[in-house]
Amino acid sequence: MKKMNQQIKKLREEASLTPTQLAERSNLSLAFISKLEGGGYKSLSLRTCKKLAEGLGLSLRDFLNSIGFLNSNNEQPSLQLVNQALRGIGYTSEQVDEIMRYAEYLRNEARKHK
Amino acid sequence: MQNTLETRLENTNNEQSTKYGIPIKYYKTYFSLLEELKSYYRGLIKDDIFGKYKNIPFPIGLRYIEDYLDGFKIKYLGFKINSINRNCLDGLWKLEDDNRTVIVFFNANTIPERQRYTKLHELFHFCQSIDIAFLNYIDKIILENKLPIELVQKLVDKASDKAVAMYLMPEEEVIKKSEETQDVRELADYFEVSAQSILYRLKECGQIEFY
Repeated sequence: MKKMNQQIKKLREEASLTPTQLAERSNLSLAFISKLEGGGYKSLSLRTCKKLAEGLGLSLRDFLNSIGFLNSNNEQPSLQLVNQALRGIGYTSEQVDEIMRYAEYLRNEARKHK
Repeated sequence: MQNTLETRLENTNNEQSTKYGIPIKYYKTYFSLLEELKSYYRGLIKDDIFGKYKNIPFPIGLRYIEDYLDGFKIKYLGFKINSINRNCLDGLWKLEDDNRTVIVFFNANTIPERQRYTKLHELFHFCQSIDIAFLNYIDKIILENKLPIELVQKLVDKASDKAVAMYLMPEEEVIKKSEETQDVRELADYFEVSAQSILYRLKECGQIEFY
């Protein structure tokens, strides 16, 4: 997987857009797009991702998937924490795992009865 | 015996040194970080989620955040757990292996308004999980030891709560409606939220001083 900046440049070129056109369609500045493609940003907010997705004519999901964010084995402590937010309301990790297994069971049951 | 008494006194002092459940030591940092997150969500909700709509009917449904998360397939699956226990599970979310389907599990043993709240709360947690800048921001708090991990968890959860409140009760509409009526029940019914939620939001929007 290419780096985020290289991937965004590739997406722009595939969409046959110049940096100026992408900037206009995304409602972002040309300076921002240039810096982004040059590797000047290490992270992007959801808000900026959404703007870039719209500018590139992609859905938010496809944009995030294209830049590799959904596929990466992200081990950021924060992501673990968001994924395990239940622990914050008084559940232990074992209880959360049990709840997840129960939820999976319910989903499978719902599938069977479709 | 003395040790027990000392321990009890110590515990009492510890209990007293919290405000809104936050230890005084971390109070300022916690609420200052929460304000920053609120400011971020204010822009995201007002400009990005609702920005393209001219007229939004109240009470607000889920379609606006679902539209924002375009490309993701969101499925809701209710389960029933006795909700007498206050700590009872309300909801959780999971992104399937196809990286496309988001399943929001919610406790169907609650009133519809609560279910809507839970679904939104989980969807905002999902938004947090795909927000690279948000995750880096939280990482920084953890790595710089600004708050203990349990307070960071609380902060992340509270940020999601605040986002839901801003989504269901947009500031402009809260101000507009509160100028039309001061009846809390009427306002709560209009937004389809609890009286407690609207009172808290009225305070946040500067319409009442105390709550």
